[in-house]
Amino acid sequence: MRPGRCGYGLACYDDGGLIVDGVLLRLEPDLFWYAQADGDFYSWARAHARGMDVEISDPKVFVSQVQGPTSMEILAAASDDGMPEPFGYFGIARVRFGGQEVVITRTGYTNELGWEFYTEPQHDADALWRHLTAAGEPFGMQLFGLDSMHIRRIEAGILNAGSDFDHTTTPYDAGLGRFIDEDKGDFIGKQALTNASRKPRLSGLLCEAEPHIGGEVCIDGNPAGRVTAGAISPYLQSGIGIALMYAPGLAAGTQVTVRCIDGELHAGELAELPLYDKQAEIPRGIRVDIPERKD
Amino acid sequence: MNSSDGKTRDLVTPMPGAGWDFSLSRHPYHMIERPFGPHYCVYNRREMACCFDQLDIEEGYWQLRQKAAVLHTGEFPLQFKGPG
Repeated sequence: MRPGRCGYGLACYDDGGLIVDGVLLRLEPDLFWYAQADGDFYSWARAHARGMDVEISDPKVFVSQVQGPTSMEILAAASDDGMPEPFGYFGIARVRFGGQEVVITRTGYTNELGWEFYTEPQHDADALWRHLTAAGEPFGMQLFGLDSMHIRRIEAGILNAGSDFDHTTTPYDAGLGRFIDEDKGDFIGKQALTNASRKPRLSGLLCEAEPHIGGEVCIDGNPAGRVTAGAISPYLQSGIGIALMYAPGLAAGTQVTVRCIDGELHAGELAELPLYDKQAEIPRGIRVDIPERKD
Repeated sequence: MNSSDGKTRDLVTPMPGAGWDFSLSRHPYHMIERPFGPHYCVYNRREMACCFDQLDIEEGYWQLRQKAAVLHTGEFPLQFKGPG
């Protein structure tokens, strides 16, 4: 990964179980930020840095994401020097927002078109926010919480560390096998992963109602997995979810019943993730149609 | 020792330079979220807004799909510096 680029990265224990995932930013040849999901990666990294010439620290940086079809127009309006070039998918740029230099990345947690900005200790955060909201207001930018993003991330098949996967699941279990470079030299967990099943256990769900997190997923009336994430998709007009099945390799379309938030079992089926936009054309800016609201 | 808002008290405070800050911390945009009635979860020992009293979840979904939505996340960047 060359400087100025990001990559998606996983960390495993020696037994192949996942600790955490995140986005690795290569800011300079010898300077990286790993924007990690929830988990104790710091201790793991320090423990495995023995003999390496590296300083691992908390730069006190906070990440905010601007996501949605008008996000690039907002960026162009907010940047003192206009739209950064190049700034492709998973790219990094340094832009000036109201005179303050800020690191931004073409990444996010929604698979919508979007970018993230990194607020550092030297920034005047209040001034930065005032500048961004002034630039974003004409394009309809508004503050929202994780629950709104959560629906979209399930649709997109973006996993949450600690709920969709944990130390008991390998990257293959979680359907993340494409991110394992088996030709790479030694890495922590490699031996265990070499012998692990390649078939995923994690699956998408479509359901009549909202799947209840932790609820059972049954096949022919027998428990066959559990729900790890659930929501109602306003776009698909359906209950959606993610399930960790006990057996690997179950096919999309497998008929199931799912424990939902009303306490009842509802009919559903396993579904391939992401639930739509299979080629991730929306975050790349290839697909730009605005979906119609369904009420 | 008081926290930055002066309303809560830290019982355990990491030494400066100790690495990962093991106390609960708030996003620099925390005060901007306050008027909207945030409900927080804890993510990477950081408070992250799950939802807001003043903002409808489904409205937020369509905002994200049709215009633009901002979320101050609990992602935790860890820095690696040096040739190793």
